[in-house]
Amino acid sequence: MSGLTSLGAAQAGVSSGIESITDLLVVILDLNPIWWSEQLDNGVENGNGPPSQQYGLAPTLDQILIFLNSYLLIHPGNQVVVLGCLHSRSYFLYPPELINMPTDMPSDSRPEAFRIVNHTVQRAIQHILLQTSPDGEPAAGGEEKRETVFVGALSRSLCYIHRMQRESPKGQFVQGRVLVIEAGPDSSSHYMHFINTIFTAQKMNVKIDACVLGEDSILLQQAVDLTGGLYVKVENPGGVVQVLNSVFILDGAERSTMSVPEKIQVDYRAACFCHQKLIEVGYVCSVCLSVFCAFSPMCSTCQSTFKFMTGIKKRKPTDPTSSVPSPSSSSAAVAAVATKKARNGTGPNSNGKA
Amino acid sequence: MANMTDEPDEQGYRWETEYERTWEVLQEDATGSLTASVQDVVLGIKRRRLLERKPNLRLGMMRHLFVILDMSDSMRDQDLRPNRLFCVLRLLENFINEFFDQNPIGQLGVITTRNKRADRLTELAGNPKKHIDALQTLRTTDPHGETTLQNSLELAAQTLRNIPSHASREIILIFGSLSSCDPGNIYDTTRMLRECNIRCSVIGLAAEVSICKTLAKETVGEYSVALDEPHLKDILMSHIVPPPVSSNSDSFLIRMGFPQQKALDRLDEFSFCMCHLDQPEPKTRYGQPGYFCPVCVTKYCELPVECRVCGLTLVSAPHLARSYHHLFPVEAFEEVPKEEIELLADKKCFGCLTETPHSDKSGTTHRFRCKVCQRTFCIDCDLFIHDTLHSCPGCASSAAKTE
Amino acid sequence: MTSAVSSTDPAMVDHKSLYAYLSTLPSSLLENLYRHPNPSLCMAIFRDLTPMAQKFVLRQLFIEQILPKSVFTSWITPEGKKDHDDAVRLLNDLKIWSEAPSTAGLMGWKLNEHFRKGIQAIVVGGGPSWSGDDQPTAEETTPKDIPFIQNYARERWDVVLHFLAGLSGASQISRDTVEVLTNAGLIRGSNSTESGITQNGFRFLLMDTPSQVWRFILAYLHTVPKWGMDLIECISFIFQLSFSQIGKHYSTIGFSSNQLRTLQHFREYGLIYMRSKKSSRYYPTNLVVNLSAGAGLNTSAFSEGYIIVETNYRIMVYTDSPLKIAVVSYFSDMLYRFPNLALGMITRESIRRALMKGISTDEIIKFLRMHAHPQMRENNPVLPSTLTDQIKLWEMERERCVFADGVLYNNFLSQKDFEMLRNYASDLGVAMCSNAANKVVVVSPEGHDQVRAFWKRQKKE
Repeated sequence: MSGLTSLGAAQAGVSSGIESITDLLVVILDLNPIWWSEQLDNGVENGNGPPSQQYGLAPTLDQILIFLNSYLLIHPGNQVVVLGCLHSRSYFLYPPELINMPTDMPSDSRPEAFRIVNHTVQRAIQHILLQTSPDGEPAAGGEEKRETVFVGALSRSLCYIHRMQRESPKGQFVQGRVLVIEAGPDSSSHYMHFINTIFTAQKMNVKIDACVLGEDSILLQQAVDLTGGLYVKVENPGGVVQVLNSVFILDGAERSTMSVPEKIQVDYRAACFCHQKLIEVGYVCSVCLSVFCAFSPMCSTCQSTFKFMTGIKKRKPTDPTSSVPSPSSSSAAVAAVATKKARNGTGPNSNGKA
Repeated sequence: MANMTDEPDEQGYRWETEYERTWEVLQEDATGSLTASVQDVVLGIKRRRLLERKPNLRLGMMRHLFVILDMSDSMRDQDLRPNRLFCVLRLLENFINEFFDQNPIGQLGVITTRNKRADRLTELAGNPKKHIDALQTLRTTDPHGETTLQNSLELAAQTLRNIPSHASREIILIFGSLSSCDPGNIYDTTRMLRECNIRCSVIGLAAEVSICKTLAKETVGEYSVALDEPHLKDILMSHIVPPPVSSNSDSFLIRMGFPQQKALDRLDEFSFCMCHLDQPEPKTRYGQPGYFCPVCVTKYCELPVECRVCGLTLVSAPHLARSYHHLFPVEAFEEVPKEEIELLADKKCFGCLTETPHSDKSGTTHRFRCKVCQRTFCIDCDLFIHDTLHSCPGCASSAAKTE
Repeated sequence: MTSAVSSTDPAMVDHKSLYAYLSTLPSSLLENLYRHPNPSLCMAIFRDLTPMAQKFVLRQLFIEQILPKSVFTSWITPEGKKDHDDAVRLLNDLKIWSEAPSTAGLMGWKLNEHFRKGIQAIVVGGGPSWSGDDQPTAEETTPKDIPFIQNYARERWDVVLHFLAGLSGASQISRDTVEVLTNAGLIRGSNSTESGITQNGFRFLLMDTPSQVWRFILAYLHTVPKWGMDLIECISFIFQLSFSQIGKHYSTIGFSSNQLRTLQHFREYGLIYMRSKKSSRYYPTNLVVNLSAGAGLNTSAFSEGYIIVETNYRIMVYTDSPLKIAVVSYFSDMLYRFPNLALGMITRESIRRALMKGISTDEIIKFLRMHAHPQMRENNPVLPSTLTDQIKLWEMERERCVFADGVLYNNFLSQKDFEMLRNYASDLGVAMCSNAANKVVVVSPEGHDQVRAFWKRQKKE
């Protein structure tokens, strides 16, 4: 009998039609110059403090490159894509979007394929930052620009993963994964884009991992929780590579065999559209699903006028099949009984004419 | 059978219409291959579907939908593989998952009709798993006897009638037979459905049936006959997008709870959750972390759910946001005209860096531009953005506009 | 239980991975390998580790102190226990780490310093570049493009395979090659007159090209010491080759005589291309690039599919190559030959014949899938499941008997004695079979002592 079952198992493996899986890792780097330069300034100001408490772009980038090399080292089929994001822009760093693939590279002990990735990323970042700093973006609203919008880069990386999956030969599957290395604080703009992107990732079975250097990011926590990724806040600037190389290098299967950071508790409360404050109980417009913290006669989003619903809860029965006594209000229990009666009265009149 | 003379607004018979020379669209390329040309046509069709989508209608997001499934003899027919029933069941499972994915606050129920009877398989409820489990049991049920259109519609209407008027009431009828066995006048039922504002759509598996067509027309539903499995799937999927809300329905504010997931501390390890109360194995009833109703602190392990104790609808914020894209869809991209294609600074697709090929035969440039952010995309990304992503990467990358 | 049909392979063919080969080497040699200035070897070994072993190395890479063993167990979940044990053993076998007391006094694992430096050099950089990589070669007057090199590689490799399949004489091939093939246990006899293909040879022919090259290289490495060449130099050269880029040319300047000899050998097999024997530059071919990755890579780059199998067991081979037809005929009955097409049938007899040659059905199915015609690849699954199932059933037919050692207890004096012993043995789970009519019990050898002790105890009472 064991022979027959093994035959079945072999068959199941064949019928899925996937012969090999290639891993594709997309790394999204936060390049927000303001955050990084703040870090640098802080480091100078309290020069007596431990210097290791500040991030520098160059040393951090070096650590990230080590991680990329380690990832490439693990399996020859592994592929990486690197994107960079600023406050209002995002760029592919590797494969490069703005510059050409560098051809002149000093050689050292890294294999050529690794060096190409490293140098391309470094030069692309240089290119972007040189472009940004002198004239930069208009100085107005400088405070806002501390924030980073990684949503654009995230949706582009999904486009890219989608393309690789489309172009991969038959029988091969490209398993994408996204790692967001965020430095600056979240930006709540583009929330709609963000949520759409996250759900797309969820649908495509792309895990989103987050490595946070600065303050905790609620958006990324949600993204990680919804897609089943990992979330780590790095405490020590010198330890970025250690975190990356021990946690984020693990692929899907290994996360069940090796211990990973525990799941974070994610705040899923909604923010109301009127005051942007987090609420536990609120009112939702039946037409456009806008959330409000208090009753208002008109929806500010879709301009529908609301009827005042009295007793809607009475008409809406609780599940009559549930045997749970309702301790909260006797009226609800009465309503349940009433509907039960009503149903019995009319009865499912489903008998056909025989 | 269908009596066409009743419907003067119809185009008339298929054979009376203009002869379509579908093959003339295809053109050989330099190597004599048709592949590229066929691909153009296929992509063109897909894009047309995108363009047809109208933005910013008022949509009935709170959907209450009954799926009536024909389980009569006719479902044994093998024109769909392996037979009609199995094919439909498989697609329905997919449909239910997608339905709840896209309509997070919608509710759905299933009614089966066989042997001149209509049975309620599942009540209106918001949990996809329950419906799918119920559908699985149908696999072992033999399709048998005749359908009854009237009884099943009445059964659905009984429940839908009591739904508050701000919600949309819908019926999707999957109809394999060509006849129906009804106890009374079916036109009375149709009228009643219209009066109750219940939208009935019919998906025929066999041939066009007049009563179905009338039913759909009267109740502002859609009637379509599936040609084959992919077509059936397309039709089903078209019902996932919420329908435009009918003008005389009211809008309401619905009270909802956004429960928080509680951390695993000692107390919680022994809390019961309401979803597993009926489980025979006591161990499975408690232990897991869950969501606590903000009003009565009842625990549930899954969202969305209607609190069994206080009746509050519990959802999570991202869940609600999942359906926003219906209300704020990405506007269709425009094709970059041929004259401008050379002027584009960026030759690569903004999304995936593909360098788009220039196809001069069909006159298309295969480059599509977002009207808002002016980024250009390849056709595949265009479709991906509109079908799946629902947000333009270009707009998401640019500075925040007022949202 | 031991299976009677287990085939006894010479060790050579079972060296599926680099690991299996390296663990046969003495530890001093391994130490020297890690110490080699060229870190490509460390890289090759690292890529060949199990995923968990890789992660262990990576986590330790920048930690200088010795980590106690308990740290490693804390890194895994209960499901990862087996992987952990495998990884620990693997790293220990390869001397990548060794036991050492940690600072706290507990026993821990200490990463081999040379190995650590090697991997660090690869991911961090900064070290000296790999030899051959940076030396500017003289400008090639007529550079060879990739298709040319691939073509060359295929031609040369086919010569080796032709010889192996007995389709061409030994004149095409050098004595050294014959020696390697003999060493690998692929052909019989050292003098070519009575040489013939062995069981392993058949299996070798059914493998995909990267695996073939890999086994061949391992055999080559085994043979190298006999020629008086330095093994380490040779190994590191091979791995250096395997990480080079296809389509580029590299200089032979500064090569030792041993390396030059290896180069000549590889030129014969098509692993590298050189315009002439004396040429000062060489092109690595697709056979040798990424060699250490072994069979995992997609094999379609090496040959186009040419086989169509139908559900009625008919097999069509679109080829002119006598080699391909010969290989297919190992497990099918060839019926017709046409220009560019041969037709055959897969029958029970033909499969049994192949099985008797020591070819396994998995190998056959893998071969068919690997060389499936592009049109077949559109199907899902690629091969008709009727065919794959049937082939497997034919194989299982041969495995109806399972042989196992056992101890027979018979000549019981009474039915009661018999039952008592039988019940005792089956309670222990060591009774393999029993027959009440003849009063015999067969007990597995592991349970024999216990049962005998029990019997003696009973008899005393």
